[in-house]
Amino acid sequence: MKNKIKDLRSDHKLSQAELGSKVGVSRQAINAVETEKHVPSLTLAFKIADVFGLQIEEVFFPQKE
Amino acid sequence: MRASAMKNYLIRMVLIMTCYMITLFTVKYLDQSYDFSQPVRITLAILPVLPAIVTLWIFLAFFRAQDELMQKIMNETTIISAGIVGIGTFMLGFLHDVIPLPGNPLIFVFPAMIAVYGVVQWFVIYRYYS
Repeated sequence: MKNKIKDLRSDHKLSQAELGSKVGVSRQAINAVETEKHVPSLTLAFKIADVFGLQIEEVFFPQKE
Repeated sequence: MRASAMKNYLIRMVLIMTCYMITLFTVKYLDQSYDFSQPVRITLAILPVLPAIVTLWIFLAFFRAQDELMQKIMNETTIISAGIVGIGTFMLGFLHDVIPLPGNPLIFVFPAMIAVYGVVQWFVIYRYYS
């Protein structure tokens, strides 16, 4: 699952730890989502999108096979 | 990993391990000091398992307190370590027919699962955290 969390964090001047704190996960979890090592649950994806005031599909993009 | 969950987990584990050690040595002492009937000896022999059962509850509470990435790491670690210990004991079972093994290897299955989990965990964490 591709995403643009890194760019959005940069725009909102948020660190991984700060974003993690806002959505209730660790800094490592945010890093794993950003680097596409972990596909977030729907709940977490909604929370992340909500922090940036965006729709979920504006933050996450399915990877084409 | 949440600090408060880790702190609770460590405190509970230290307490239950202390209970386990006290139970283990008390049972050994009673069994060697008194001439109990067989049903009492059987009951005493399995008493140290009770604290071990509580460790499962402690581990589950710790698991539920983690975020989804840590839960994923713990799930993968459990599958890999259970597989390693399961296949290892399966192999020992076959070897038992060919080579008589000393002692009672069954008692080492649970400690082996804990030890292997501890080692495997670092490899799985490295995969997701690096």
